[in-house]
Amino acid sequence: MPADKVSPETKVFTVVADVNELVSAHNANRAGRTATISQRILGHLTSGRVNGVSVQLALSFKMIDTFRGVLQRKDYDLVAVDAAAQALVAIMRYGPRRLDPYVVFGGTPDTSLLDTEDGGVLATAFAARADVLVTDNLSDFAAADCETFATSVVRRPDGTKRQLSCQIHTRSDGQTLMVVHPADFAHWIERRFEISPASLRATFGRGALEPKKRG
Amino acid sequence: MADAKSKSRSTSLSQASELRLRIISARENRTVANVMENAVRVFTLMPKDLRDRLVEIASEDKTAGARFEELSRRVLFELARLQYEQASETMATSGEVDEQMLADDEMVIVSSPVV
Repeated sequence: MPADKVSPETKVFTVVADVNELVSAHNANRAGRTATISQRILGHLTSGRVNGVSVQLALSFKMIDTFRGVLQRKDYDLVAVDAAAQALVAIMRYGPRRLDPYVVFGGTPDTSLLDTEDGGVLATAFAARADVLVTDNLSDFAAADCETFATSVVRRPDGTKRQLSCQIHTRSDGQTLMVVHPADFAHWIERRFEISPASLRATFGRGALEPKKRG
Repeated sequence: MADAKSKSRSTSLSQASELRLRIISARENRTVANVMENAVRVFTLMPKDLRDRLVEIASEDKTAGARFEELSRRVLFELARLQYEQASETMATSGEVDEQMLADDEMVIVSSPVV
């Protein structure tokens, strides 16, 4: 269980950001960009508040290790990568829920997912009692029993278009987790859209998609 | 030398302050005098507005502990955020740019019920 010290009446919006989002933000920094999707998301998640609600970043040590490893393989400054990884841990630890990755995370990967690493990320999100998991790889998280809704259409720089979706995962104990594409997440936050299961069902319910079949 | 110019001062502490002082001293394996010197050194470096505000918060015995804990959390969070920004700035001068990742990161929403 998370080492919550915040009073129960204080609403905290807890977000797990997939490692790919963290790496993308540094990739965009390196390319001289200033307002890509990942950069905007990291800006929101490290600001402490989003749309008047306290925001808590949640990551597992496994995810932080992956973050460090990926950036080191891409020849980023090793000292700075370590400092960034330590800072992410501190941002978690001194967030509104004071999540300590040493204490909070563990558990076993969700075996309903084919990819063990993705299963670990989903387990992390549930262990942290996160509201949202932000990831570009939604198809990897499409468990047979999750609700899936079509959300937005995006255009890539090469002109191709892609239909995005979001998922709501509900555990047997009633705990829910929204899995959201980064483009939607940034778009919704910046338009002050309420990111909750009820709001997603009400807004995108007509675009409900069939559960993904696994072979 | 700083030691040659040091001055001894005395003051009276409330029971509660004395207890906290002894707890810190014991937990951190420091002398009481050292903890007091640290406290005065830090306090006297703060701007007056901040000192006044902190004293005001400290005067509310029932809420002071929780409020200082929350204040500390916010300060430490801000320091972590600054550390992340500084590390990010350094990282932006090294590493390979992944063009495919960048393209995915620059997608634009062209149709959404959320406007």
